Amino acid sequence: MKKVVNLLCLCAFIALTSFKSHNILNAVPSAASFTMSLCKTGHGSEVQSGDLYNNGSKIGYVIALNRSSQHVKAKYFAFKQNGTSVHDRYDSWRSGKSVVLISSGAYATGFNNTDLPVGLTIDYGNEVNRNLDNTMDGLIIVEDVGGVRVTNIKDGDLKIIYSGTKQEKTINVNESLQKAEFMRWCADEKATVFQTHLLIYKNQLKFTRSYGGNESERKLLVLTKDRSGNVVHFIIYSRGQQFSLYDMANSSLQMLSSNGYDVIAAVNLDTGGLDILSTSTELYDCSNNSIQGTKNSDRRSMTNMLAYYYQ
Amino acid sequence: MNFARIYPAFLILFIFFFPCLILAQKVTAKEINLSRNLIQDSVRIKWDFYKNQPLQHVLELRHGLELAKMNADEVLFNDFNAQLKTVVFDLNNIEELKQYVIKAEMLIYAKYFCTSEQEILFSAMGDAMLTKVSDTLQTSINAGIVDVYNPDIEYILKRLMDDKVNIKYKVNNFGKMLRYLWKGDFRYVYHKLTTTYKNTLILFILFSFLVFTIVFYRKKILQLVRVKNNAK
Repeated sequence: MKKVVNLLCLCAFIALTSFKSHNILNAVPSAASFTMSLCKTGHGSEVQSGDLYNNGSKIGYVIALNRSSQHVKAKYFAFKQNGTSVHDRYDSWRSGKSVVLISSGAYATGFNNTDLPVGLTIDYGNEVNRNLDNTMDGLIIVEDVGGVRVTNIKDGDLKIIYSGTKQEKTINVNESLQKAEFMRWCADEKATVFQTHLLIYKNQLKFTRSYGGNESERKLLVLTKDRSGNVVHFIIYSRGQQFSLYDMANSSLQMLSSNGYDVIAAVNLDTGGLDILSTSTELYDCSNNSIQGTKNSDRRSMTNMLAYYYQ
Repeated sequence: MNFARIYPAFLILFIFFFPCLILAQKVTAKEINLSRNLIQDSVRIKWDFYKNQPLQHVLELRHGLELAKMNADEVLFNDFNAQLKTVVFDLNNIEELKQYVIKAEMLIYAKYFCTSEQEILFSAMGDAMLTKVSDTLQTSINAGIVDVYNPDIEYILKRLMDDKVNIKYKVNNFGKMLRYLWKGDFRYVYHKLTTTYKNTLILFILFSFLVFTIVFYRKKILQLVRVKNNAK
């Protein structure tokens, strides 16, 4: 009899620990309320890092990258090139650069570095995937000079400027002819482009709660302007708690707005099988711990990579 | 300045210039007439989506339309696209589908022998054709009409991937997990078991414990029940 009772107790203990470790018992409250604390500064005071809180509990990290002086630049590796994996490309590119952070970027069809990215993707002018994904409205252009632009594909008002003639043109990538022209522009200007879910655009949420997706760790790239008009990019990462895309986007929008930031756009960065985030040794969270994604050990398998560097 | 001296020069210039002007106008009119015919021709083009279209002919049409001050690319592409919309694929006829993909590839790679201005038209045509194949396949795979592991379909999908057209189709997660297991790649399985199938896994473990307890301790449980009944 004692054995039966012991076994049942063991079952109950295992069940409780399993539930707790999988965040079932302490499920995400429906009204998430984010706050942030940017307590560390690095890279010429232009990058700040710190903690992300939900209802007072620490749930992840926030990294703010100030682009006012344009010393902080972005670089995107959309896919392997000439047989060289994304990680190897990054390794050869990084020499002599002060890398601020690296993160997984767009979605891919699988976990291996041979798996193609989903949605329209161009890497330094080279076509990677020409198939426009109609379920994702965000088109991100990482310029050769290190700037990042986000456009809403549905609006069809992407502005491109030919560097040679300085001629400006408005492109609707949904139209085949204009898309072909855009791709030629990317080839000429060595632009890098990828597609992902557009969550916030011009201070407005771009989807409803019903299309919020599963609850998961979320990582957003948010482009903002502060009160002085400086462009500040944010990486907001909920490593310790799972959210639907809607809750994550909505709470991030409220948090940034209440801190005086004007949100230009926010897009989702992949956290699935390759949930990678790594920062330089100048950046830590508020407890002096390193900022890491859940799958950093798999970074050699990365199918794509968003990097920020200081120059 | 003596006007009488330069007057003959003006006269000679006028005598030569005036006929040149008339000639130029006539040439332009001829070109415009030619272009008008070309526009009509272009609308009458029967685009062959399975065999090679002489691209030189398309370029001539384009040139004619440009002379007529028309948006040549738009006219030709709209004409092309209108006919493309009427194409219906027979997914059982893979050979025909292959020919169609080859034709699209030819248009996309036409950029290697035409100018960057001309390239946009061909690239857009090829892109529209490949998009039509990928959309059809995506819809058919998602609807379960086409088996994604059929070697012929797999060939088309791989060929599309070579052409930088990546199709995102719904897959059965469990089937995908088994395939990754077969390949010996456990990362996907681990990821799915700790995310998508997390709750199912926990329930499965608990249920297994329950079954295990009942099976191995059934005698003691029954004994316990009997003791309770006897006590009553």
